[in-house]
Amino acid sequence: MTVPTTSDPRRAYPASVGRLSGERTDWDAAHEGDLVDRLVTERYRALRAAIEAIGRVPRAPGGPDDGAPVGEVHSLLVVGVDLPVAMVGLRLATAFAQAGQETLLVDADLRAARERSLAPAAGAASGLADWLRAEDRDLPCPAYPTGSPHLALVPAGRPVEAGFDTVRDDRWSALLRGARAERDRVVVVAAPLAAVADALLLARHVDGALLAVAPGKTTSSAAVRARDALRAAGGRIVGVVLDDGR
Amino acid sequence: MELKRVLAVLMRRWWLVFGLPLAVLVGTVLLSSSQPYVGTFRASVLIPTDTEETGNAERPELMVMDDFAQIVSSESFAANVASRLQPGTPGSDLSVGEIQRSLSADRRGRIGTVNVTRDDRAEALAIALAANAVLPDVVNRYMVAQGEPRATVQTIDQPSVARLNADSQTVILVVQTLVALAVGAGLAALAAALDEKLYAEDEVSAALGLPVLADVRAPRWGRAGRGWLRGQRA
Repeated sequence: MTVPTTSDPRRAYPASVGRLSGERTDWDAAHEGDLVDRLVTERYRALRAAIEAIGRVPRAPGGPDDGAPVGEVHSLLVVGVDLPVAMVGLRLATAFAQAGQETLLVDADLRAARERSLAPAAGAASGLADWLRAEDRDLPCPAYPTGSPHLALVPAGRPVEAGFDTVRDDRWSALLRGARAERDRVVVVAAPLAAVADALLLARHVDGALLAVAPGKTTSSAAVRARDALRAAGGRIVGVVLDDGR
Repeated sequence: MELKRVLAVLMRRWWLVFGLPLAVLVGTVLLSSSQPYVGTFRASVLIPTDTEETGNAERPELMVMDDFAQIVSSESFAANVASRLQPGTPGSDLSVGEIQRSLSADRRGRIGTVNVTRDDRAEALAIALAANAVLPDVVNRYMVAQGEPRATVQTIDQPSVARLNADSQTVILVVQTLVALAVGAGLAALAAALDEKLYAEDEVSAALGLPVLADVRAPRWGRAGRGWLRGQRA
């Protein structure tokens, strides 16, 4: 399975890909030196470093992650308990790409409203949903280049009401196998666990899952349910990231 | 629970912890500012009737003083006060009935205390001054029998005006504010106990048994501060 890239993605995805892939845009020029953006960027760099350390650095005995399975995380599922994580996935993938790692970002939130999707103008191009539904098994998954030479994006495509229910497991695992063979990192973002169970179907196909929690919004019971569901589905949760879903 | 954590829980609902005392403070101040003014003076009343007998503790002149409060609050006393008020001065346009309703008195031993309660400070003072002036004549007219030696009425505290309960107002204010602060903190603690939401990093980590790898939220001041950082309004 190969993940080729198509040309001229920014015509279809100007807002998300152009801006967040590291390419300078008018917005960047207008906000040059923005302390807040630089601070957030640093936080994503710290998150990237923490994920890179998993499997390389011994866990602290007695720590909260003591006893968790050890192994490097090449493919990562980012899923929120009750918040959309498209921006988290995008900025994390950008952080990997800015470190020179070949990164593929897969927007697997097939039911997200278009304004929340990584591909707001998705009607102009195909995406993951179209590929998953395609009859032709040899059709390459559409991955689009971005302004960063190291980051490619598989957009969600046209929203699918049924999510992954109609998708065969082998197709998804084949996609990830192909991506892992060609990329240093694969970041998959999924719909919130509180809303749909799509992430549970993806969890066992990735090396690890990053659970996003919104402080002040997420309840402990919902977070525990999400954690238990991911583990029951065969997922390996590598840690938690705090985000507000904006 | 650590003090730091307790403070964090309380500060999460700072609007309750501080809002309630603030509301009580403002309410008390507003309430006290709407309190009427009370003009007060005190006078000693000596009725020279000597009926004391050895072994008899009864003091008839003090029994007469029991009438003091009734006389001060009477229409007759009010009429005397009204006639004393100079035209054009504060209180001069008040009716006898209004003056009568504003007057009250009590006595302890030979000391009588006269109170004038009015919403207007100047009126309270003017009526108190007039009452102080007419009191000796009224006492001798109504409390001393004809042909008896005249009573001696001496003012021991000149008329002065203050808000009702002004002395205790500060104490009440402090106590009410402290109680409201305690109630606010209690409500915040109760709300925190009933709140299942996760707030702090250590809460998330403890609830899930997972490490928190990063907090990628923009700082709170981020949105509002963007414009400021660029030297313009957000």
